[in-house]
Amino acid sequence: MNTVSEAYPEPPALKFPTGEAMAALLAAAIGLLSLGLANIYSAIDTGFRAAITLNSGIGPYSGKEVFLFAGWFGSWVVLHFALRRREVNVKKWFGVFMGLMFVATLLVWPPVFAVIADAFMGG
Amino acid sequence: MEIPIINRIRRMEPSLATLLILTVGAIAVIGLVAAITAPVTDLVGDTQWHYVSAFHGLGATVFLLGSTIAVYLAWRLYTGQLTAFRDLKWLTAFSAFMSAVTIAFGNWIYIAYRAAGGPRSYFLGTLPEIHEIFFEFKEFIALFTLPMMLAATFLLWRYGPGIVKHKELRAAASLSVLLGWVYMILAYVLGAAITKLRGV
Repeated sequence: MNTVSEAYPEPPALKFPTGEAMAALLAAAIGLLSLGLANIYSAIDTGFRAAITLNSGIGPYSGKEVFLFAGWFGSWVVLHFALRRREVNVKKWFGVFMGLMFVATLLVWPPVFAVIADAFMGG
Repeated sequence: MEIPIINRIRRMEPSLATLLILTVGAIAVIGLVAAITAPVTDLVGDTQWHYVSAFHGLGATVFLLGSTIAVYLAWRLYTGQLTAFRDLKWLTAFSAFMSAVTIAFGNWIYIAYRAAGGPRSYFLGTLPEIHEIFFEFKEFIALFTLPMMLAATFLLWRYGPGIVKHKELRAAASLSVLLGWVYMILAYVLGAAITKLRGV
């Protein structure tokens, strides 16, 4: 069986600090959390729901996508410049990333977000 | 810019390269003849939405194929046994691109899904759980594929082969590919099942 050492006898050291990698991952999770939160808030507030209906064809889904991309790319820029020269604890921050992804996934699972929305509406 | 598959063909023995090119060429010719002579449009349907739907489904299938190979290579990266780093780089980038294409066509076809008399009103009238749980989840979870695949692409292209020596970073890159693939499978299976119940 081939191994890494056979394929890359001397792989070069990392070209950039690990902060850049974590910025990319955490930004993705922040964007998806923004999507989940926008989705829940649109279920709670009809005014917000109407405001994020940027396209009548796909309804409020259009605004929720804007929240995703704005949260994702906005936080990526900020985190990239904040972390680009730092060596971070990859294991710890990847664990944080996985935790955020777990929460983001739950926030878009209808039985969960419906309960959260109902709780906020006092239902 | 080096494209792995072309480089590999160039490095092959001439007889092997010829055999491969002849085989691919023969399949392409047969496919072209079949596509020209068969009533392919009957398979697609006869409204503008059928074409959009077909491209959405085809995009998702190509994404499925590319990302499935990528996830296998990502496993090899995770275990430290990857020999085809460039293949993984390209396949992950390709998966991110196909994710974007599929999402774009998904947005377009969503107009037909929500239109009066479309699948959404049918499901809400007959099987509300299909829309309220499965479709709602599918429309969001499909979006999760793009950030995962693009973040993994960034890691692999930015850090290059050096990442294979960094145990935690290579785990982060490979698990992101895996996560993107899991989200893609969820969206793909739900999309196929919902389309089977009621297409646009």
